[in-house]
Amino acid sequence: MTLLGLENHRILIVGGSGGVGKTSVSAAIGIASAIEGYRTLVLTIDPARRLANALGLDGIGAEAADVTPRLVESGLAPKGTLHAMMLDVENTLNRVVERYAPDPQTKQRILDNRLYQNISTRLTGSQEYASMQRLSEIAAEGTYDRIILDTPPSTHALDFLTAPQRLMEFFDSKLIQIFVSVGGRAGRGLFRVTDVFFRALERLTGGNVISEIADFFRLTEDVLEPFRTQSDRADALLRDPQTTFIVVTGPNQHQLDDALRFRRKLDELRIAVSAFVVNRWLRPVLGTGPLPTASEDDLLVRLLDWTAKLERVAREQTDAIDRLQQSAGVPVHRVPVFDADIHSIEGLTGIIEALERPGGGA
Amino acid sequence: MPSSQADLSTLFDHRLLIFTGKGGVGKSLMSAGAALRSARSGKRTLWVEMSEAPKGSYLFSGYTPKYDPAEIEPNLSAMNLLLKPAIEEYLEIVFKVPLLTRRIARNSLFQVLTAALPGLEALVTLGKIWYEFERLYRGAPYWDRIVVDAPATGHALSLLRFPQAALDIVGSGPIAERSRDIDRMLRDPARTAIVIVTLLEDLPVEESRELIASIRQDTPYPLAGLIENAVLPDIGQDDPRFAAWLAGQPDESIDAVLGDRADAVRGRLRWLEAWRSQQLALEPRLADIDIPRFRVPWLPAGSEPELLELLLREVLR
Repeated sequence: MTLLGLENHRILIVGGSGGVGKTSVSAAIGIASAIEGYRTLVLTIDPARRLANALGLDGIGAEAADVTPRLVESGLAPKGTLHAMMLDVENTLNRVVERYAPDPQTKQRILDNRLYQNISTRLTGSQEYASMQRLSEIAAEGTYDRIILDTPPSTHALDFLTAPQRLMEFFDSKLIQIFVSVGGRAGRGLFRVTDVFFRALERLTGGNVISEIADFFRLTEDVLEPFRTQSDRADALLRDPQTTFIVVTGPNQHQLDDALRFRRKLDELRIAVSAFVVNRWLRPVLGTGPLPTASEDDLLVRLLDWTAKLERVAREQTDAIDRLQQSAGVPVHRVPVFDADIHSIEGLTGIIEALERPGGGA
Repeated sequence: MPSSQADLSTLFDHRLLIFTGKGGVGKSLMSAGAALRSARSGKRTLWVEMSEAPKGSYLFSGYTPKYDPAEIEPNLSAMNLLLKPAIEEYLEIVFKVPLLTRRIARNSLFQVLTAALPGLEALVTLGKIWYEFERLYRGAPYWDRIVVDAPATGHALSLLRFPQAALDIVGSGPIAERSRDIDRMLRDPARTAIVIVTLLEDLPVEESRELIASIRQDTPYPLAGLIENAVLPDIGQDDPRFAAWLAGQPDESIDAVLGDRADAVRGRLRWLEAWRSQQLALEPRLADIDIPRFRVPWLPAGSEPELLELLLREVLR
C-alpha cells in the first residue's frame, strides 16, 4: 500500500501550526518513502533534539546526511535511500548575498549592516523564504525522487505562505527607489513626520539609522534581482502539479478548525492539499455503554474516574475528527498517541502505520 | 513542591502579570485564566494578547481580537497589542496629525523598517502597556489589573532587554523618559510579576531554563514564578496494587468491576503512566531553578472555553 496515496508527488510540504508534531510526521513520511524505494530527502529546521538523535541528525549542518544506514540498523529494509538536511536559515539568506554581491567589499558591508542582520534573523518571513529557496534549489538539482519539507516551527501555518510575500513586498516597495537614488539626506526631507520619527529612532539606536537604511538598499540593489527571480521560481514550485501539501494538526476542535482554515487558504492560492494528518489522537478504547462505578475501593474510584475523563476527551476528539473528515474532501489520517515521546526510528513506525491507512476510525 | 491554589494566588494577585514561555505551552490559556479569575473577583481587568495569530476568539466565544480594548464579560476587557496599530496610536499622540501619521504608518516600507529597527517595537508596545498601567480614572487606576499574554521566549526576551539597552544609549528626552517609566514598572516586584509557563517536555523545559538564565543575565527584572502546565495525574503510585495491576497481574476488585474492559482500561492507563513518568523524569532538570514553581494539572477538556472554565473551577479557585 502506498503511503498517503502519494506516488505521483515529488515534493511534499508538511505544514500546520506549531507544536503539532510536523517534524515527526515529516520524518515518518521520509522513512516510508525510503522503504518504498524513493531516493528521499527530508528538509527540516531545528527539530526536537531527541528526534534529531534518532535520525542521526546530530551535529550535521546544511549538507545532506545519509540516514539510510540508520534505517537498516533499526531492522528496516529500505529499497530507496533517506537523506536528511537541517536548514540553517541565516546561512541561506547569506548565501544569496554571497553569491550575488558584485564584490567582496559590498558583500561584507551587507553582512555587517545592522538592518540586514535584523531582517535575516528576526523578521518574520526570512525563515520561510529561506526554506522555499533551498527547496527550489534542491529540486532543480534533481538528486532526489521525493523531497519532504518540514515547514518552520512558526506559530501560524499561514505564515509559511504569506511571509515570503511580505518580505518580497518590502524589497519591491517603490519607496526603496527613493532611498536608493537620493540617499540619506534627501530621503529624510520627504516626509516631515518620518523625518521627526527617524530622528527619534536615531537617538534610540545610537547610530545614523537613515544612512544605514539608505546604505542597506543601495547595497542590496544588485542582490535584489536574483532574489526576485528565485522567489518567483519558489512560487511556481508551490503550484507545480508534482507538489502537494500535507496538513498536520492536533486532535482538538480549535486545532482542527485551524487546519481547515489553512486548507481553505491553500485552496484560494491554488496550492494542492492531498491529506490531513491528525496527530496525537486519543483513541476511545471502551466502546459504548456507561463505565461501571465504585464507591469503596479508593484506588478503584480514582482509576475509574480518570478512565472516564480520558475516555470523554477521546470521544470528543474523535467526534471532532469525524466532522472534519466529512468536510475535508481529502483523506484524513489519524495518528494515535503513543506510549512516550517519539525519539527513535522504531517510534516513528507507529506513525507510518497510521499514514498507510486513511480513515483509521475507532 | 507547592500545591497550586493558595500559591498561584500569590502570583496572580500582582497588578501587572506578564506570561511568557515557549510557543504552545499554554501561555494564552494560563493568562486568560488569571485575567478571568481577576475579573470575576470584581477587579477591573485588561487581558492583553500580543499576537499575529491571536487566541482570544478560541478562548472567549463571541470575541474578535482587535487593538482597542473590548469588554468580554463584566470587568474583563481584552485587546491584541500589535506593533502596527500601536505605532499609529503612538504617532498620533506624539505628532497630533492623525491623517498624515496614519498614511505614513500604513506605508508598507515604513512598517517593515519599523519592525526591523532594533528597539522600536519594544518601545511602542511596552509603552502602551505602561500607559494602560498608569492610566487613571477619577484619580484611581483605570485598570485594577493588567494580564499580558506576552510573545514566546526569544521575542519576549528582546522586549525585556529593551529598557536597559535604551537607557544605556540615551540619557534624556522622551524616549529615555519612557524607557525609565517602563523599567520602573517591570522592576517592581510588589506590583509586577513576570511568569514563565512550561510543559514537562524535553524542548519546553530546555527553553525555559535558557529563558530564565537570559532574563537573569540581561535584565534587572525579577521572575515571579515558573508554572508547570498540564501535569498528569498520579492515579495510584502510592498503592502497590496499581503498579502490579498495570504490569498485568490480576486484581480481584478491579477486574471484577471492569469486566471485559479491563484490558482496554489497563492499556489506556499504562499510556498515562508512561507519559507521567516521562514528565517526572524531567523534573530534576528544573530542580536547580530558584524561583517559585507551580504546578497546574492536566485538565480533561475537549474545547478551549471548557478548558478555561475548568481551570478556573479546579485550579484557580
